[in-house]
Amino acid sequence: MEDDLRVMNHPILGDLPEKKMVTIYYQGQPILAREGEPIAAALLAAGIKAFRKTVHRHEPRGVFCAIGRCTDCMMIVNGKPNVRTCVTFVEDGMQLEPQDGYGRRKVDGGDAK
Amino acid sequence: MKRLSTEIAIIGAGPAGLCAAIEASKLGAKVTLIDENALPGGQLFKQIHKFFGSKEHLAGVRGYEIGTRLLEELEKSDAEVMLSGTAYGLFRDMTIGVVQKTNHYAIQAKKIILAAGGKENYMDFPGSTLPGVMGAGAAQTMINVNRVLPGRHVVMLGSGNVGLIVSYQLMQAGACVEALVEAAPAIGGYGVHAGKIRRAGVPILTSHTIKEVYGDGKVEGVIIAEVDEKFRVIEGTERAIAADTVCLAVGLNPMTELAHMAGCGFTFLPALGGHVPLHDDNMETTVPGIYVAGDITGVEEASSAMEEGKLAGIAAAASLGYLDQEKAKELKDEVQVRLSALRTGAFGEKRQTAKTEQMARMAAFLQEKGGRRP
Amino acid sequence: MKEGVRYTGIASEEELKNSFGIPSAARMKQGPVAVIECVQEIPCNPCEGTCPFGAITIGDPITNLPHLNETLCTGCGTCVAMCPGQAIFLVNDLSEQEAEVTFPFEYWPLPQVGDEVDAVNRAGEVVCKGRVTKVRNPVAYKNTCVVTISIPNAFKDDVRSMKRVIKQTPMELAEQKERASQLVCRCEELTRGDIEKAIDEGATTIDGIKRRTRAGMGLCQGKSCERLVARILSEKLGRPLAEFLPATYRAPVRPISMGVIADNCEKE
Repeated sequence: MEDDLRVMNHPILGDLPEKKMVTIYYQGQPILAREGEPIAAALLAAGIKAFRKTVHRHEPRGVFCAIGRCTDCMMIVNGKPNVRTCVTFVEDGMQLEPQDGYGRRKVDGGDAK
Repeated sequence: MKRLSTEIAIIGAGPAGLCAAIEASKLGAKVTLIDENALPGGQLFKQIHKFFGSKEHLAGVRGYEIGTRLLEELEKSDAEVMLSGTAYGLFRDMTIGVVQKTNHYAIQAKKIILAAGGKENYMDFPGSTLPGVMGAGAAQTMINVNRVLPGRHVVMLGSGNVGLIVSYQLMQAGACVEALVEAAPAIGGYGVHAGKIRRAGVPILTSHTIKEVYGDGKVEGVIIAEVDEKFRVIEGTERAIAADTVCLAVGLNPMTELAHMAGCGFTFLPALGGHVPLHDDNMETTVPGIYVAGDITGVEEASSAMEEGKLAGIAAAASLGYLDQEKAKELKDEVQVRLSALRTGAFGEKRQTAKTEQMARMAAFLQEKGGRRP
Repeated sequence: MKEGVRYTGIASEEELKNSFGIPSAARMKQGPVAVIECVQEIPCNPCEGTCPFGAITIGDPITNLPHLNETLCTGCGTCVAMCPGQAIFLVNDLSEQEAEVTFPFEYWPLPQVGDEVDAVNRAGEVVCKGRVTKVRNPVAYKNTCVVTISIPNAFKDDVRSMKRVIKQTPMELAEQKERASQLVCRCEELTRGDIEKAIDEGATTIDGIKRRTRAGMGLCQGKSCERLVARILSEKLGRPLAEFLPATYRAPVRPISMGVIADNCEKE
């Protein structure tokens, strides 16, 4: 784990306000996230940069546009593939898997709806 | 699918869309403001620097404070706001397809204002897809909105105002900017922005480019090199800079898909970011009832986007009869004065010329076709 | 290397001399005075309205350079905080040995009175030590802190800021790795070579490239690659960029769940 990448103090925006922390799971590993933040922010804060592997070349990709335009940051979130993590917010207990290629739906008890 | 109807539908709740909604709603029109994000404000909330311009343009006020003020005004207005609503298409009879969470809407409007904004340009070089290479705007969102550093050692590509401002803001958030690289022989943005990062010790390397970014699974370093006057790499000038993040600030271009779908006439103006919709001084396109405002009409800045939004809002409300032509003209003239003030000086002139050209081509289009065409 | 703010980000001596914001040496000896290093005509005039003493004039148009009236200026420092370009400083020529320089500062942590700091010039180079004598950060300054440091007099024309405190993390220079391929379309993972091949096969438009290669048909729907494809077409075919119209856009223009549309249609 790298050093904390959260911006705790800021000359203009002030100290980072306290917020309820939730736990999300990246490949089963727990990560603390600030309630309401995008998944991508929580992962970057934890030093995780590669979010998925591409379809053809299986090359790593991460955050590129951060505003939901480019789709580089997609992951499998709670079993649902192709979720743009920069515009999807963390929820307590969320399960995140890096997506390899197109990704498949993985939800207990059959197809997700 | 649910069918809804409104008088003025506005797509995009950034500075242009917000101002259009506030203005049109104030004048009495029924407004529906649609944005795909969970919160309105567009990219205003990541702008933490003090804006330029004059008092009327809210100069000296930080971008996010302007955002807060606009949201307060929106709150007070009667405009209906539809958040997390993705406008995915524009169809016949002024109907917009919107998906909001698990609901699907067809929204029919008498007037539509497209304020979808812009998107960052991308550069291709070896290693440009490595995790850690990102838009300057992406880094800005991460540090100022989400309060997370994408990395600690940054190389910035591009010396326009975005590259200069985001470099400064990365340092405010605690990162180091190892270098700012610019292919042109001169700095693109304001000297005062460049001066700030120079005083912080950031080298600005003009006539330089990124030759490649390398790393095993993520950015570990950047090879930069000098370029000649034709932007060709001068062999032998390569050197490596250790970095974990590379930010691309190589301009923006308008998000015009919906205007294309609507059949709006376009023209090519490089100073505004490429193919832009034709519009008149009411911000109305070649398709009757469809207006544009903000970066979609040509990439400028938030200050001018707000003025264009007001213009479109006033014009759309006037065309629905909410105010007489005389009053409308008075209001629009006030906006025009502020708008042209933002397009003066050595930096604004190019945009002013391009905007004048855009409207001249609009006039030529109308003359040729004998009026607007649905 | 060319001089001047356009090339280096630093106003040259010539540019400063030709601007209207630099007070006389005599005035600097009478107490703190504004030094306005604003040399480019940009649309901006908050300094004019913010000076409580009317010592700064811009007028119409707002791109005019600011004029300083050094007699009216009291060196209060309001303009230092309010200039969005952070181009205004105060200089106080105290004695033959000592001078004070005041500058805007927006980095965390802020210095404290008494701190010894590294004073830097316009290029960020440390030129001498300085001692912080004043730190002002009232609400009206909107978080642009105004810092005054005492320095040896000889450096009063050079020092314009102080070095910020950086949380250091060592960065090892990694070995250069094998070059990645040069991707143009991020979603469909197409290289420049793939696009050029399509042009060789007869593609002359962005739509033509799209049909042959799928560039622009991936998840982002061309938002990243379209302009690069246009550039390659323009370069290879020797025709202006203006000719390459965007691909045909069809709904959905943004990524949405098709399931939502399908589900909702069934209900109708």
